[in-house]
Amino acid sequence: MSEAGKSDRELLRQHAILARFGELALRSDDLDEILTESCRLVGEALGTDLAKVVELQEDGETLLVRAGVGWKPGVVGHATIKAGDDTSEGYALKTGKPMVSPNIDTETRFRYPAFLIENGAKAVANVIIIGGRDRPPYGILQVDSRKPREFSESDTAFLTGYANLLAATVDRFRVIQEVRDKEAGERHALEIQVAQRTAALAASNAQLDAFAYTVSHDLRAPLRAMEGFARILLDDYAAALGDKGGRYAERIVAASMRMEGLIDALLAYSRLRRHEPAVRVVDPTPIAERAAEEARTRLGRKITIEVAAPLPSVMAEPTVIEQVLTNLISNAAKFQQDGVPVHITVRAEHQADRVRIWIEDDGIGIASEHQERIFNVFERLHGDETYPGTGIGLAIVKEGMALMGGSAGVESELGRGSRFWIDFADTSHPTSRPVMRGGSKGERVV
Amino acid sequence: MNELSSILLVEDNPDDAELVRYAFEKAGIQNPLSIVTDGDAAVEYIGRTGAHAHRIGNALPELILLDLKIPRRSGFEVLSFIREHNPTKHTPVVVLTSSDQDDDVRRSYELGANSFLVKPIGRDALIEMARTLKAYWIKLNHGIAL
Repeated sequence: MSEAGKSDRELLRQHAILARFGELALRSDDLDEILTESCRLVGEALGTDLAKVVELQEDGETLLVRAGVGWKPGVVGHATIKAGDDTSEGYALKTGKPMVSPNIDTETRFRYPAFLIENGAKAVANVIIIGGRDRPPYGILQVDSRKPREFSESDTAFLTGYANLLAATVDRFRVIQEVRDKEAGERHALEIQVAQRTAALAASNAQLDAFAYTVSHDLRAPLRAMEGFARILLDDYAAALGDKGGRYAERIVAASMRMEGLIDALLAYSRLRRHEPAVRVVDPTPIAERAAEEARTRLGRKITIEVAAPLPSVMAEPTVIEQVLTNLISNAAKFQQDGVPVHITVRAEHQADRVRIWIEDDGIGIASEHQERIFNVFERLHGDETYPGTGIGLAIVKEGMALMGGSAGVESELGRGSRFWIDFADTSHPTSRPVMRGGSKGERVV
Repeated sequence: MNELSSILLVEDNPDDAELVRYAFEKAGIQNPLSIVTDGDAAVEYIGRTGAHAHRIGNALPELILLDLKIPRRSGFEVLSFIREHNPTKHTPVVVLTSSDQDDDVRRSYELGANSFLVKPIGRDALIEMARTLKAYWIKLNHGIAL
C-alpha cells in the first residue's frame, strides 16, 4: 500500500500522540482516565468526532462502552453491544483484524447498534485491544466519524499500534488489581483467623471465670457452714461436747481452715493463668527481702535467709514475681529437718541475655525422680502431718514464670538441699519477650 | 434507722442464713430480721406483690442484705428492682456474697449498692462483721425513714 497523500505532518502528529500516550500511561494510576484520554488522543490523531473503548464482559459476548469522547449522555458506562458475527465489533474480536466501514448507510455486512446511529456516526474503524498472555481480548478501540470517510492502512496501523500499547497498559492494571485482590483476600483470611482466635480465647477466659466463680462461691459456702457451726459448738456448747467432742470439733475447724487455704491457692493459680501479665523492668531485691522477712516471722525458729542484694533488675510483672519469690522462699524455709538450723541464700547470676535467680537451701532435698512433677498442680511429696501445704505453690511458680516469658527449675539431691532457679529476660532485652504458654510435658492444667 | 426498723436478708443458703441470724444475735442486733430465699421472693417482698401482697404490720426494710447468686432472679436483678421501685429507691443495700470478683463488685456499685461485703469464713469474723454493720448502718448512718 502506498503512503501517498499522507503528509509528514500527519505522521508527526501520530508520533506525537503516541509519545503523549506513553507519558500518560506512565503517569496515571487511573485506568478510566487513561482510556478516556486515549479516545481523545486517537480522535485528535485521526480527525474523527467520536471514539470509544468497549470492554468485553465476563460472558464473552457483551461489550460495554467503558470510556469515550463525543457521545451523548447515557452511552459511556451504560451502552452495550452484543458481539455477534453480524456486528463489526464481533467480527473484529473474532478475527483480531481491524474492521473499517467507510459509510454505515451503505454497509451491508454489519448491523450497527442504535446508539451509534443516534449519535450520528457514519464511518467506523475498529481495532482489537488484546488481553494479557492466555487471556481473552480486553475489548475494542473504535473511532467514528460523523461524515463518511476512508481509513487508510496507515490509519488502521496507527490505531492498531495504539491499541496494543493500550492493551499492555490495561494488562498492567489487571495484574496490579489481581495482586491487590490477593492481598486483600489474604488480609481478610488473616483477620478471620485473628477473630476466631480472639473468640476462642474469650470463650476459654469465660470458662475460667465461671470456674473461678464456682470455686469462690460454691465451694466456700459449705466451708463457712462447717467452720461456723463447729466454732459455735465449741464456744456455746463446750460443756455438752466434753473433752473428746471438743477435740473433734477443733479438727473440723482445722480441716476447714486447710480447705480455705486450698481454695485461696487454687483461685490465685486460676487468676494467674487468666491474664498475660504486662512485663516491665522490676527490681526483685525488695520483693525478695520482704518474702524473706515473712518467712522469718512465720517460722519461729532459727533461720538464716541471705539475700545477695542488690539483685539485678529483671523483666517481670510485680505481683507475679512476688508470688513466685514468696512461694520459693517459704518452701525453702518449710522443707527442713527438725532441729537443724536453716540456711537459705537468694542470689542472682547473668546468663547470656537472661538473669537467673537462685533460691538455695540446705534442707531435705528432693529425689531426682520427683523433681519434675513437683511443679504440677496438687503434687505433694509429704503428708500434711510433716509438711502442710496446698500443692499449688510450685505450680504458681512454673506458670507465673512462663507467663512472664521466663522459666523455672530445680537442682537437688535427697538430703542435701535444693537449689531452685528462675530465669528472666534481663532488662537490656525488653523486646525479646517470648511468652510461652502451656508448659512442658506432664503438666496438669486446672 | 433505729432498733425497731426491720432488716431483710436475701439468702438462699440456709446455713449462711442461720449463721447470719446467729451473728446478729451475738452482736446484739435486735431489729426484726426477715429472710427470703430467692430473687422472685425478694422482689415480691419489697414490691408487696404475690405472697406479700397483703402483708400487714410489717413495714418495708430499712436495710437490705443481698446475696448475688440466688435462684430465679439474680441479686443484680433484685438490686435493679430495688432502685427502680420508688419506696426503696434510697434504701441502703449491702451486698453480702461469696464472690470477690471484680466484675461483681463493679456491677453492684453500678446498680446502686451502698456497700459490698464478702462473707467471711469463721464465726468470729462473721460476728465482727455483724457488730460493724450494727455500728454503722443501724447506729450511725442516717437513712430516709419509711
